[in-house]
Amino acid sequence: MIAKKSTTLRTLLWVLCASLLLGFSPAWGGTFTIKITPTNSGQVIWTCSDPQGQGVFTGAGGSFPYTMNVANILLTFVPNTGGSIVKVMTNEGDDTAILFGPNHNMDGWNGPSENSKKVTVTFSGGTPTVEIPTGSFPFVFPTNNLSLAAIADISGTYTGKTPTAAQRNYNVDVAQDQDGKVAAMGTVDGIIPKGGSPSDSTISGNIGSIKTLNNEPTAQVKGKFDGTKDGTPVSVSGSGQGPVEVTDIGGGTNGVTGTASYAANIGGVPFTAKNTPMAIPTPPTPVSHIHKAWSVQLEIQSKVSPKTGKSFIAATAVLTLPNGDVISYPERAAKYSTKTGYSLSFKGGTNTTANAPDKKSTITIKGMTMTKQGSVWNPTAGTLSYSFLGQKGSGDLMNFVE
Amino acid sequence: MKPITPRFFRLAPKTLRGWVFLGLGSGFVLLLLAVAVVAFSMWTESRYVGEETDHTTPSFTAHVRRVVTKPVVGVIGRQVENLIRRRMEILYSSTGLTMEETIARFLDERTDLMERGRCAYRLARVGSPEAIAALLQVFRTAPADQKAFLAQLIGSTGNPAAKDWLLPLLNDPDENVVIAAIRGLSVMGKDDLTPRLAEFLADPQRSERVRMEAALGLGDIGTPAAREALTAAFPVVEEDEVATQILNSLGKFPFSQVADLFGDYLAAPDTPSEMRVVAVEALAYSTKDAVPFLVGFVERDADADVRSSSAWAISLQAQVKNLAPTLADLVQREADPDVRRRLYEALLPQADIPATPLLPTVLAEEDIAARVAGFNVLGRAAAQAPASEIAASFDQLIVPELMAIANSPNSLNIQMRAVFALRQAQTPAAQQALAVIANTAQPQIATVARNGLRTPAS
Repeated sequence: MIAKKSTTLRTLLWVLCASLLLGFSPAWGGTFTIKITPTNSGQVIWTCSDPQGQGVFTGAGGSFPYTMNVANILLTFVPNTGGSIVKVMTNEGDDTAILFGPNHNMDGWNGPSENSKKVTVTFSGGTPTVEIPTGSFPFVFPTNNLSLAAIADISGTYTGKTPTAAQRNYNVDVAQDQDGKVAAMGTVDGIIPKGGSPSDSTISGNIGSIKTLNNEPTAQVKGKFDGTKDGTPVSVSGSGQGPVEVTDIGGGTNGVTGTASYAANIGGVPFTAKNTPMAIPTPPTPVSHIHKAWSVQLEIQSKVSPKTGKSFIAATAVLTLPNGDVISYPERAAKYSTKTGYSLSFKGGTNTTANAPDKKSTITIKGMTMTKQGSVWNPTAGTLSYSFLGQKGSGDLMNFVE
Repeated sequence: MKPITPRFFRLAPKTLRGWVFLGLGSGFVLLLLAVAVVAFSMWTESRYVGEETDHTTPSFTAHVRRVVTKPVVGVIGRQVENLIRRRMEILYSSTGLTMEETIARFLDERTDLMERGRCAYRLARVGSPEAIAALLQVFRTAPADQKAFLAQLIGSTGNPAAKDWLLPLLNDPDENVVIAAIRGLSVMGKDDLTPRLAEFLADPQRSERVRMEAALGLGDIGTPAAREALTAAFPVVEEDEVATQILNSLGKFPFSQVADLFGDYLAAPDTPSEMRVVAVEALAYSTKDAVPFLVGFVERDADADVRSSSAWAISLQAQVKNLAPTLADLVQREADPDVRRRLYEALLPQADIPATPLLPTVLAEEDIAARVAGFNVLGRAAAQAPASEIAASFDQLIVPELMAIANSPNSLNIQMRAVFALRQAQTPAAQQALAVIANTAQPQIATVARNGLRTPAS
């Protein structure tokens, strides 16, 4: 075993020596560190050819990776407005004199062979600039967080048996629009609308809406039916209300609960009821029809206005609704303050799924403060308000960060 | 003049058999009379189902209804209602457990809390001291989101014992318990709760959630006192959320009782646009006499959102079926595609849809939602007149487009409504298109199309 290890080690040494003799150096990684003194006195813009990357260091500086003996690196030193560069120290000593060009560039690291390089730049004077957080920020509604108002979409096909002695088969297709208004079309065994026939007993119409009531999506429905039930004339007008939530209504049966009020006439016997408990059993499939998952992807970027040539912060958002529709919001200018963060409001988007304007879906983010970890900005606080599909809610932004 | 009494006694039976016959005969006549009264009551009341605010009813009929027919039918209706309720309760009450086992299952924390709902209903229905004690114990420790569900279920039993148990919970320091108690008590729908809820609603120290639940509860109770409490609170409420719920609750009352409040509120220049939308949409759940009021807003309101919501509210008043010419005329004059879409939806339940003048308007629609809504109306018109020109136009001009919408990527809502339009039409071409969609579209849309295929008449 020892002999085998020694052989392997010897082989590796031979390979290394041969590589050196042949003038071949392995492409290993290094770390380039830039230190800015004093903190917030200026910024350093860097570009690296391998691995390809670029960025801006502010504050106290930062670091980026490079491939030894391969990477070309260019640094640009930018003091705060009104400030100047005092000196630039590298591994080799004071290299302030080698800065070139009006932008104070420094290059010359055509394939650094050290596995770490460090540059310390000292600026003086000037007004400190605030580092603006930019990046891509996904926010996802946590469907298991009951303290947040869910937005429900109930579009789909519902089939099952009525909770009556007759156990009639029903089959109802439900479409919910962007305002939460609901239309339905379906059949129930033995129930034929006025003007219908046994071969076509479809009942259809607008039946109500889904709204947020006391922080939960609530269905408010209303209907009127004239026709026959097993040949007996029936007339029913009624309304119902209940949370859009599938619960266990007994014996392990899933169902939708609520209350119903109705005035009916079956075979000439009129009767009415008010706030009667209602529990409609639902087979497993409808559970998957109640969609509550949605997300918003926020993009914040630093851009240069083609008209004025000035840089500005641009924010866009893409909202994916519980029904799968995607709403894209136009770019808008944003401002950032270290104290109050970003406050952004998105409305007047385009439903890219339907290729149509969307006037009703809105997303508002208030007080989104950020912190930087490495080169990545992360939200630390804020409030997210959302309104779409006729419903609305609001909550701590951090609940939406995955 | 001879006294009548001796003559009456002379006509009276002289034997026991005669008295028996007289008794049976009288009983039979009374029975016939009772059956006639019941039949007359049912016939009268069946003409007014859901039309409690019909002012065209002659006063004589109204008086007879109030004194005779309504009470008679009320008794019969209660029996039918009890029968239905018993059937509904089978789901909850047939646990197959003894009362002791039900309590034990209910108290066992390992039992799924959702499953406890069934036991809770049974315990509340029975209402024995042991059952109530078990309910209270679990209710106190249940998660907040379960409390309202349990309380509503318990309240829906209508058991007075449950009421005695729920009432003290209105004073609970936990807001979730108070909300749950309001919900449970409101379902019982008794007016003795109205003063408490009115107090909650008017108390600015109470949280918005509790006040909203109180407003909702008063709407569920639905008595004149509850309406007065809502009406009194509305002008003084500052929070939009609570005001919204008050409007929604008032919208459930017969329109004649709330018309002034809604009229004044909608006419006030300082009422925000969003709240005007809430107000007209609340009337979707009122009585049919709200329709002319709503039509007025579609005709004249300057705010497109209010016009659109008014049209949608009309679409839910499906018992009014003579609006087709008015609505079709409004479609022609309306500039906003969202409002036109809602007007098309309101046209759907109407009789005699004037499809010919609507056809060019629908075909000129550029907004996809309005266009598909218009196709639904034309589909319905085609079904109303299968051999008409409009049916032919539907097959020729519209069916191919609907098939394309259903088969290409689009919003699920638009795709479903495109299939609905084909199902409305019932023409051979529409049926053919449905058969194609059932085989080619994405699964959800294919299912909706399949559900619209007509089964051959047996």
